[in-house]
Amino acid sequence: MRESVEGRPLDERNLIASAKNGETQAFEQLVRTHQGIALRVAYLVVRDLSEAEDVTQDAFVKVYRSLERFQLDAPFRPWLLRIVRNEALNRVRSAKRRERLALQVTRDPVSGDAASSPEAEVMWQEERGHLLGLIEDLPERYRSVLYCRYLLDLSEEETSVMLGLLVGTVKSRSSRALQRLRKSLAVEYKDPK
Amino acid sequence: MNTESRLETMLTSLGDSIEWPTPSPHLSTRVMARIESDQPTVAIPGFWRRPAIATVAVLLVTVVFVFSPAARQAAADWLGAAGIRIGITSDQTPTTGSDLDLGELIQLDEVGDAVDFQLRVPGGENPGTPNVVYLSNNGQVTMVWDGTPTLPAAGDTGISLLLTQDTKAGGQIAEKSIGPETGVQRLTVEGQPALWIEGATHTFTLLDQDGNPIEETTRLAANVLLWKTNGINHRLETTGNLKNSLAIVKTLEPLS
Repeated sequence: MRESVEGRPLDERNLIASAKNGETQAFEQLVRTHQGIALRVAYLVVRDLSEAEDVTQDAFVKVYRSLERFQLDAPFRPWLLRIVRNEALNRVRSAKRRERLALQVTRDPVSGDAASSPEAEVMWQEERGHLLGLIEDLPERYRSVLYCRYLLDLSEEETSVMLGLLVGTVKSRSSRALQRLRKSLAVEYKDPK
Repeated sequence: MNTESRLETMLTSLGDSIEWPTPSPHLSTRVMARIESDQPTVAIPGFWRRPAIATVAVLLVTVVFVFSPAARQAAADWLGAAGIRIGITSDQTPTTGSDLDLGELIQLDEVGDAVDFQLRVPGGENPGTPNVVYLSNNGQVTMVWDGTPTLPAAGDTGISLLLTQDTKAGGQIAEKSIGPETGVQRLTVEGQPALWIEGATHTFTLLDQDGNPIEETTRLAANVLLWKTNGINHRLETTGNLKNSLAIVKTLEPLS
């Protein structure tokens, strides 16, 4: 579910305020609320579950220690996710690893256009797997925006904060990324005649 | 359904289709245990991981510049250009500047379309066309020139000249750690206030919007000219002197 910055629940703001005052139970609630998407962000970078968990832990600890500087009226989630992503990037760089697991598409469709037969399910899976591959082959500046907008379901504003981009840049990169994907798909499905 | 709407529909459903990991039941418990024990995270600044820099970073005086070229969240890549497929890619000869976390490589004739401001490039024969160009995740462009007999490389970087441009307003702050043998001169460049930092090799680290050092941006710097023109932050790092640098600035022309 997408989180609206303006519509952030009052109780979360209260939790943040309490955490800023050193109430660790409040912060634990924030951890529980956001650990899922934080882990996804870390996983997108490090592509290793165990390492992604470590990164997420470290990032939350950094978040807690940085809460003093966090402005209560600012969006919390993208700020948190930016710290997670930076932590993950640091980890990848220091490890200088070359091995990266590919993202995988689940076998069981969960969206409303779910396939209704085994054959259709295979096509469904292959189609999305192929699309995912095309995204991962995009230049990073486009890929990261698509990750945020579609894989993580972040708003343009949240993407802007998380990636440190202007909202206009998020829009333009998203548009260009879609153009590239459409172009790739058009080429691949072009009638050879 | 047309291609566009079908594509967006597929993308929208893609996030739900990924085999995402789920947090272990202990994740939050471990986080809280660390917080409550106030166990400091052991983190070796990137700074010290770089031998060339470590040798010069003693007894430093810190100067904070408020108008830095933004940048460098540089963190640029989610994964870098490295593949995301299972497997190991062979190590290749490193591209000049590839260890400086400047972003991802981009062609000079493509970079103009990738940013929302008018880039400029030196127009004279010296230094000529940049050898490589990088684009960081936050829209900072860095043009890099290799060392030459007349303009040698800085330290072991292989780089003689590095020109960065971006439009990040405020927020981003560059912190330079400058030794006693490094001079800072205020001057005017293109009619705007500028700084020229020259002397002993020094280091700098950029700070993110929260004032936290972005460790991966720490690097060895040669002489540096910093100025802002038409809302565009410029940083020219070079082994050359001020006269050479100002001569290069005079040749800057819009990248077509």
